[in-house]
Amino acid sequence: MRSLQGSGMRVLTWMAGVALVATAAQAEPERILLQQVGPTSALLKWRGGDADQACWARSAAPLRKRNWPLCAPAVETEGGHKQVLLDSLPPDKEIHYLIGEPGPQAAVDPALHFRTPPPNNKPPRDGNTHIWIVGDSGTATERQLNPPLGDGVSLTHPGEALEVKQGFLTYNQGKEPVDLFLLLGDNAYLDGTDAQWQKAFFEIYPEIIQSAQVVPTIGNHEMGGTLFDLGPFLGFPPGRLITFLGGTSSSPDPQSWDDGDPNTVDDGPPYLDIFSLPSNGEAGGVASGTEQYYSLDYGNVHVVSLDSQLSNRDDSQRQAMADWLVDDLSANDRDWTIVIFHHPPYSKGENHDSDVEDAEIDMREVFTPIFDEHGVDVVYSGHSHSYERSYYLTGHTGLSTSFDLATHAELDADGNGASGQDAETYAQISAGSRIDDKVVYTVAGSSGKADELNPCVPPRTLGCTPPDWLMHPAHFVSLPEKGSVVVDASRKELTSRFIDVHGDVLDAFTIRRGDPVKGPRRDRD
Amino acid sequence: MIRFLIIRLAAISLLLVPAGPAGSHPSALERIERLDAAIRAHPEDPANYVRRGQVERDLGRFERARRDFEQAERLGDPILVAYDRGVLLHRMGELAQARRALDAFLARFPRHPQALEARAQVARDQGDSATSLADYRAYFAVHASPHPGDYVSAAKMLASAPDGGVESALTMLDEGMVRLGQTPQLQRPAIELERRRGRDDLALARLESLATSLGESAEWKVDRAEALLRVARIADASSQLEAAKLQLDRLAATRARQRLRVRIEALEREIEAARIASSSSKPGDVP
Repeated sequence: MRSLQGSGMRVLTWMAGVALVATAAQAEPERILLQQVGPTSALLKWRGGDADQACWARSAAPLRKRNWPLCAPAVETEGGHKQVLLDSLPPDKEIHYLIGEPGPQAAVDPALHFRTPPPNNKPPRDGNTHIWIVGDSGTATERQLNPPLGDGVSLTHPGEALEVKQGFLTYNQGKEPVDLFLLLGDNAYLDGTDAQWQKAFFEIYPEIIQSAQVVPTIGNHEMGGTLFDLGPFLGFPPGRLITFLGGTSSSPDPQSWDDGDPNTVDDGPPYLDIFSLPSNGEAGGVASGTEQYYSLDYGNVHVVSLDSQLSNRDDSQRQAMADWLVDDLSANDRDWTIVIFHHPPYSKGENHDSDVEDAEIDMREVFTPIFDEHGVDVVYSGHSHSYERSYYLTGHTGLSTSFDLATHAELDADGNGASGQDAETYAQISAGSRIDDKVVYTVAGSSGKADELNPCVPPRTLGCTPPDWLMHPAHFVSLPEKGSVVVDASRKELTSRFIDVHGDVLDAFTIRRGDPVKGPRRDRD
Repeated sequence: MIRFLIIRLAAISLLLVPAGPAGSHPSALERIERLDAAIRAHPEDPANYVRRGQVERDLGRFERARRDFEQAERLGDPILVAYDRGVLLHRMGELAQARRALDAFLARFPRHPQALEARAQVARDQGDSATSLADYRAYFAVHASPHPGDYVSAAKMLASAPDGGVESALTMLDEGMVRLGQTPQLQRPAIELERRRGRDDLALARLESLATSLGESAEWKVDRAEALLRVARIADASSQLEAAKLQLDRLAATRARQRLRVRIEALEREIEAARIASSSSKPGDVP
């Protein structure tokens, strides 16, 4: 595994021009990450630089006092990271932090702050949990070709993840800060190496991740690659195009991670070193015993991150994950439940068809019934590089050909699939069933690139769009557009919006709490 | 020209990588066709016979797999084929031969996780619970990041041993919880095993150990009420059900919670029956 520890005075030019904590004598951290942000504690993680402690305060000014007491020493963690548990924090408050020693000379950056959630099932004091979601965003490190093809086909996507981020920032101007930053997998192409995470993630979103908790899930490109025979998919004889390809591993074992570089010692995916995920229920969910899947609470939102890439490939591991999910959701009492995982149960993306791919079929057959039974509200996945958003669904575990709108979706007054918009806003307690049994599924894998119409010409079946591309009947809308998703969860309603690179909202839906027949539910707290 | 073609094909392959062919894996028969072609091109390479044998084995075509593994043994180092041959022989029910093959492989590669797991399974089927448990322990010791499901799977195998492996299975699950923490995926199977061996008291204690982890959910309370009923703590069971009902009243209605209410009603009937039985057998005794 690669480690950048000891890289000394490395100074990175952060693309958004955000200054990092540093004094003249101190080297800057090359990455900062917030994890497990709870009502009274948070994990602050960084790598690089000289600092071996971190301090916090309710505002930036106290951090310039020489003997400011609220500091804690860092512990070394895997991958050369340092980590400090900031504890005894006040709930539902803004917390400023400093990596390094406090004092008059400390380069306190007022941008380094985050918000703790309230201690129970309530939204933050501004009334809203604000969530940003990106999928398949790791394109900044897609390989350059040398020499280039020269036929007008772009094989890389330089700057496109930044375009998507800029679209979000344009949309978000003047609005509240991000509370949770959800990653839908494939956030560091092609193999999920540490260096790729640095360039495709830490150097793309620095101003976001220094003030919002990151909640990731494992995609196929987090798991390195394998030797793969592409020939038959392109119409060439078998054995002609066997090559090491990132994203092709189907092993359930994280130790199988391979970056294809014979000069490195592979010791599991860097993903598991970079993130410190709450496997023991530290952040409010039920202990899972593994960082591959976990859950957490943030105010009025419960987030579950499932592992569709590794645990889902092995029968016993998949079953253990499903058993855990039932216990986790049974113990969940938050207003809203969001589930994320990489492989979408409903998708007709380029090369990623949920009628064909095992990982997607297994997620649909095993897990969507659990979502229906236990009150999950929204599910977000990536993998397909487009935006696809379903109707308000229940009970569909079969192929797309078996989907029936009247059976599997909430309908409007005219018998069409309800849109979730305006007068067709969804109700958490469904008007039809009178229970919380419906889910909206969103594929948002276009935060680093978007597939474009490119009809397949036989015998080629890969890297081109089949005739039913973006035509899954369970989806209300399918768009070949780059973008990201913003979720706002208040006490009364949850709204999900797809934001394009210009900051425009291309799709939105809202779910309202309460019984549409009885009226609003009473508050629990 | 050929060089240009190779570069172009490689470029095409890279073009496809971002699209991600991960799920578009060829079927087993397609893989066999490709391996057939590879063997025709390089008949002296034992690796392709091993690969084809693995696919044949997974398809259940055991004799074809055996022939491929034997050919690989003739062409290369037989020990390198011993793990795959051991797995095949296990599936064919030839336990003694499978054990010999895996013993030979592990003598050369004593820390090979998959071989340790495979020999644990063979030993389990041979009724050798001690070796099976030892191999599973070794397997988890060398595994950098064992998964809860791996422990559950190992415990199930141990529990299904011909000589009765419940004790070994419980040991395995408890060791898993020492390593991974108190998780419901491991404790719930342990609770079932305790019940299977008639230790309802220990089953209750294990369930109660999940109280914090499960946040004393309504479902946990109903499970506990059921466990309390089994050890004749009727009043405690009743109060747990009341608490569960109060909790459910504050939560949105889901199908799972509807089923839980049905369970509560059934348990209330059981409790009532137990009270009647208790009062009729011991007049004046109020549970």
